Amino acid sequence: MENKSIMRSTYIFAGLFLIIILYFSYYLIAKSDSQMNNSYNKLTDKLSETTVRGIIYSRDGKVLAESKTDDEGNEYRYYPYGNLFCHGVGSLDYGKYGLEALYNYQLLSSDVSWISKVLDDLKGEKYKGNNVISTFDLELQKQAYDAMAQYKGAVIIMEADTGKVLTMMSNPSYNPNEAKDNWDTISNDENSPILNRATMGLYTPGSIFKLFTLEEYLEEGNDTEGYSFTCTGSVNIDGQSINCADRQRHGTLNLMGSFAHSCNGSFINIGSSLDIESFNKLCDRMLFNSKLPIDFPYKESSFSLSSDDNEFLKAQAYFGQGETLVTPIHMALISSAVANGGVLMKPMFVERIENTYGSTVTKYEPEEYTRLFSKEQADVLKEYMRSVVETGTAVRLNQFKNLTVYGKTGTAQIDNGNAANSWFIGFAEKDEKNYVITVVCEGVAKNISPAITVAGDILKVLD
Amino acid sequence: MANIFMAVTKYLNILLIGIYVIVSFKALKKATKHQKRKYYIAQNTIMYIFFILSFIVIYLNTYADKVIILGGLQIIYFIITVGLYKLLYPKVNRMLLNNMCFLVSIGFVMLTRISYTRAVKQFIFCVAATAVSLVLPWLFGRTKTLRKFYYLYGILGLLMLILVFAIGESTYGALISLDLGFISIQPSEFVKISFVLFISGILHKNKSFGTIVISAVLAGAHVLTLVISTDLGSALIYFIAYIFIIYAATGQARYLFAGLLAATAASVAAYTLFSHVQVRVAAWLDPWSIIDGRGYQITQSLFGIGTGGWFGMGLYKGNPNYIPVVEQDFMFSAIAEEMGGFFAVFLVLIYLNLFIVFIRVAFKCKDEFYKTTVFGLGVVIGFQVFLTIGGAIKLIPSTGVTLPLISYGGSSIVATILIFSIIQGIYINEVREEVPNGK
Repeated sequence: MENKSIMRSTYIFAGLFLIIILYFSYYLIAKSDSQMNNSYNKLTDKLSETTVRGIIYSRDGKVLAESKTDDEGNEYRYYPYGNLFCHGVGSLDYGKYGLEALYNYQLLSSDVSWISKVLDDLKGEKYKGNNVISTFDLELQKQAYDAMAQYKGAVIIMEADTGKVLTMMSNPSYNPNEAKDNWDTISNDENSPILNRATMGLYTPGSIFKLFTLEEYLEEGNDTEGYSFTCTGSVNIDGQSINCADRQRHGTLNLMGSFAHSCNGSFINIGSSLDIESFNKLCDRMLFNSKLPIDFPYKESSFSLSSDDNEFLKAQAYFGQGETLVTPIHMALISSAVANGGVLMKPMFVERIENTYGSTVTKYEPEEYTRLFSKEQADVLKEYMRSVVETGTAVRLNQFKNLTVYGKTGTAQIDNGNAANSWFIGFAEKDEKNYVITVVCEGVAKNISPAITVAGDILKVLD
Repeated sequence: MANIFMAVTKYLNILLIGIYVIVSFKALKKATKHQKRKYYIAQNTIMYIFFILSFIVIYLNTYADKVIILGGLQIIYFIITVGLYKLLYPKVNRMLLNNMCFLVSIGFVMLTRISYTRAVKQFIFCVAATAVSLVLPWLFGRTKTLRKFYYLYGILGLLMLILVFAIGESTYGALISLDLGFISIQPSEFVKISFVLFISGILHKNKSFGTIVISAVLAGAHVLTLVISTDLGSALIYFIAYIFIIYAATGQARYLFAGLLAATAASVAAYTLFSHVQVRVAAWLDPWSIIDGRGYQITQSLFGIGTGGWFGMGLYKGNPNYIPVVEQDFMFSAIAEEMGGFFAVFLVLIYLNLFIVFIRVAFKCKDEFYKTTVFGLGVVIGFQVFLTIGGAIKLIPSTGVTLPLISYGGSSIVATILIFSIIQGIYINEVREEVPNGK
């Protein structure tokens, strides 16, 4: 038996123990925080026994959610603006929604010095949880809420260069302060007020989809200058006639005119020249049938077209009718990439986490997600989207002093043509800053385009 | 008031175990008899304070009188164990004894908090094993023939393992226990001891290449039987113990490298051959993507550790029972969750201290056979600690072995206490301490 090899073995084992201590410390210091916020972590509920849940603020410091104590000493969650943020900030009582769910662990963690924790312990008080400073803008949210008062649907406003989501609203809504008492009514309401339509609502896109048909047409290197189409108000496909909105006759249009006036006939004509396989690829690249970079629960938009599909189905697909379904958040991301020179920023809902004394615990920085368009492609699309507002279907939005608006409108026929989803997607430029705005009003009468009006009402605040 | 007491206890316990670690490492240095006595008294005092404080917290959370009775009996157990050892064996290795008692006391506290009935069962096994362990050192002094039957240990041990494979009961997918009707035992816990005795015995004869080949064949048979019984943790412990004993006995590093190389090759082979190995590795690499399946246990363990943080959630403020099989495989996570990350780190340091105490005893043995035996048993315990904690913190794939002296499990606690008493017996009978005189 060699003492020297016993010594060496001892060092090896001491090394193993040291590795355990180092890895354990590394895990606690650097890694664990980001993993604890998980719906499988049932311990977070236990934390509320020792910690007062933190406050959720708007970007300008207004309280959006806070914990209060009633006369009997029971803690409850209070939302000063009632319905206004029920989807974005969310609620707590029956299942967790919104930021309340996504930042549950952070709100229940208390990143103060251990001395002040010990002091709290000695005083017999609960720790004070971290506060979440969201990116939501109270004034914009209010304006969106008021503008949408008569419509079901959703509004999203975000900054194109940072991805910060300033407004996310969905109508109908519910008052989270009363959720406890009315949960049965709320959850059984056939209008599903709990559903966050901004991320979970799947809508037929209608003419806003022409953006993708146009992009495919441009990417395939087709003739843009010489393009011309004469619109007679309707086209005949396999014995079925497809009309332009309101049976309008657009007359002779070039490519930009077709887009600006949203001529269905012209887009069927454009679409029929496209390579369908390549079109599918483009849509996949444009985040159809794919994951989105957001933490909120969402649905994936769907698009699929096969060269075996019948001509009528194909024709419909080119102008956004048929099988295609999109979510408002997806459309917001597409326009934000156009506004941001082709680069898609990851949407942000939280600017930073602070401890109860206001010192920053975590600061979130804008993060590039991917490039959807080249700079040149984005600039071209911008030009086309500008023409919609300058001369096309959204001239009503060409009225602002300080804002230059870009966009695309859509009126998607639903319910066998008896009702429509009214869309506006686009962005408003002000002092080189781009505010992306997405509006969808669902199930409206088919001859009105309320989304444009709603967008106008909201943009007033930014003007 | 009760709340404040509980909160203070949380910090006090961290402070206590911290002081315990400092004292234990100081006690490893050369010191006078008088100084050493002071360290030992400090160690025991800390244990009693920790134990009593923790049991008051358990009582304040349960208001169950049975908890007080159990706690009281356990204190009596500690007093009698320490007292009898000192009385019967004036030469007893106090470091070994005190560390054993402190680890057992931590186990009692955590088990009582997790499941009272299991704590009671564990206590009964503990008392029985301790009673046996009190006689073993005396028996050791009377017999010199232990080493002669090494082939018997090797073959009997192997037969036991094969028996388990043939007619054993499956626990969480692993064939590890034998149901004897009134009791279910896990032979692999006990065969660890016979395995080390066997290798020490055969190497004691001679260390020729031929002997090593024979030992390798029998050791390989042990390991292989464990692997096909899907008791991967034990298989690894046996393997590592074997190559380190060979290395220490021959002093030739090539055996260590060859062994580690073989271990790597065997791991790769096991991974390709056995689906249960692949499942464990998958749960280790990315448990988050299979969080509602095979990744559930390890992620719950990480939730416990992470949510507990450095200071812990406090006893009864967390819920270790969210981790499946917590009382056997994930006691470390349970301790980190409620008693805190600092407490857990100090616990690792106590195991390190213990390992050094083992090695010290091995060092001081003049007799080759005993030296190898102590070293081998030290490696078994040391590596088992690495496996279970490493698995709980996701440093390595989880192998489902127990945390010595803390985890629930009759066979585990009895076998571990036996290992301690064998080392104690060798120490008492073989080692002549040279202690500088104090006064």
